Amino acid sequence: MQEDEVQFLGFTKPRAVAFALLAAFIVVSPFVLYPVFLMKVYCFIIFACAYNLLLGYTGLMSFGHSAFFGAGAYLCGYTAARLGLPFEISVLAGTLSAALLGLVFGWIAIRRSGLYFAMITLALAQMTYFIALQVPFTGGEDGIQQVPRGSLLGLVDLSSDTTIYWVMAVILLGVLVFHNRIVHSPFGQVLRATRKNPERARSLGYNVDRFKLMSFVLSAALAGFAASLKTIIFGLATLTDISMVTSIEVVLSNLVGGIGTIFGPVVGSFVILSLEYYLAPYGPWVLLIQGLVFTLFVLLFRQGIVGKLQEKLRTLL
Amino acid sequence: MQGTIISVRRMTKSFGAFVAVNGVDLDIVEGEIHAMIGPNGAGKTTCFNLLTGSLPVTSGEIRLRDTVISGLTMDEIARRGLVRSYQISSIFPDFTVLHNVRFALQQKRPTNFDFWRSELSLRSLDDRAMALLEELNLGEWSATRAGDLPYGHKRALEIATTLALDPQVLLLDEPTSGMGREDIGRVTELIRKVATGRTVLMVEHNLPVVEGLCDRVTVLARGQVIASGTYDEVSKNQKVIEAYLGAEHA
Repeated sequence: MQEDEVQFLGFTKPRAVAFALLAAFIVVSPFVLYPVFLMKVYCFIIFACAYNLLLGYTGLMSFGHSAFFGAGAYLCGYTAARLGLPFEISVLAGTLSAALLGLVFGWIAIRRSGLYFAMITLALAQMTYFIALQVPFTGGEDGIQQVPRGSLLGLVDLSSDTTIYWVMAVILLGVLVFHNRIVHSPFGQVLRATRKNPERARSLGYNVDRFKLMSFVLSAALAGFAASLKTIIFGLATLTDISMVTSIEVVLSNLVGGIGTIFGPVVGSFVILSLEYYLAPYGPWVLLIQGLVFTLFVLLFRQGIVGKLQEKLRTLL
Repeated sequence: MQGTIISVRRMTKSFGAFVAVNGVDLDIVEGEIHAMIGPNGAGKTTCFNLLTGSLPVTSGEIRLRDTVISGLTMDEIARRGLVRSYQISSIFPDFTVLHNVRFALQQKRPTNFDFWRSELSLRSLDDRAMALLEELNLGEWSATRAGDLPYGHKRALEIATTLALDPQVLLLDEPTSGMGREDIGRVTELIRKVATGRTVLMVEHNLPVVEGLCDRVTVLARGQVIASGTYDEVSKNQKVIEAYLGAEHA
């Protein structure tokens, strides 16, 4: 980003326009689309932003992000449903538990890079899935159900879909600003440099592994935050949250939207979840159609939709 | 003459049965330009990698003044003031020239984990970055994407980022490799300029550059030091002549 272009909330002018368009969409869409579906997408956008921080800006490909999403979902669900603690504490519990798990996973995995890093994260996530299936507090195959939505700061009752939609809308916009800030902070500057040339960053005195670990923990925490919100909105945490499918979906949403772009996770999440939602009536054919769509995307838009758009804009301007 | 800033004793590096560096002793005097030369495969770059922590030593000891630095990681050694450049120029191609230097300056901040702060806070480093670019005649290129720079300028930029850390010892790995005559002259002049008041250790193949620039020369062959002294001394050394030309020509 050219700093001289900074215009609004840390966004460059074109991104500020994209942000404004998204905000307008968020305001209008619940009158046209099903708000619960939209909230599912918004949660997934936050999850995809978390993943983008790691893959897009740190250059680490994790196949185990479902572990953080699942941990966040279960811990938030347990805190709200079993311990009866309020919304804020439950979301905080989900976020912190994912961050802690991220610290452990990251500490182990960053010792390797590339495919080995990805395989370690996959193995650790599979172990986490097994643990989630075995320990009693997760509810096994049933998961944790009937998680209450509670209220925001004890003042705003969140039981209505409309109310929680607007809360979720504000949170999503806040997360997008935060995500952009991380990427365009002094810390983000180091991440972007180490992704391109880690050897040179080391030779300039940067402890690259510590920056990678910090990025991993931030990414895990944000994934846990997304999962906590999803658990509160839908009232349940299940094995799907912690399964391999969730890890794959977040990779795909980044690939389709555009890895290493601020709005790639937004577009990618919309595409992935819309395919699932609108193709649901076709049953098992969904997988075939999804497969074709992904193959086409990878062949035609290697930089993803937003990446391609950015390229076009640069050519035009 | 000032004291020794780097002293290396019995430095050895093995890769399985192959001994790339074998019991090297080396003393670098503070404020001097010291060259490490030798035929291909002599172990010069491996020595560089060992000195900067890019590779761990198999045995032996490296000291920076009184501190043992062998065993430290690359970033720890860099923070202690031993900063290197690379044989193939190593820059951040997507950053502008100014941002490359600023990124090096950024390392000296108390923390770089402040993810909540805007990168605009780094603008306070721009004046110093610009001054370094001016020093290396790169001022007019400051807004250029580093990947688009001509080759000779990339080497100059790499030296600028290295200088940004205000190193105690500057290690330059073949700074003129792959350059045309004009660029060689430019970079040689830059090295002479930046070496004022600094200690420089360089690996270099170009002997006229070494002759014109360096106070002291160490010659390596097959992983061992075969001669050390001024350029005139080592160039008359029989072992050096044999190593470069082969015994039959000596």
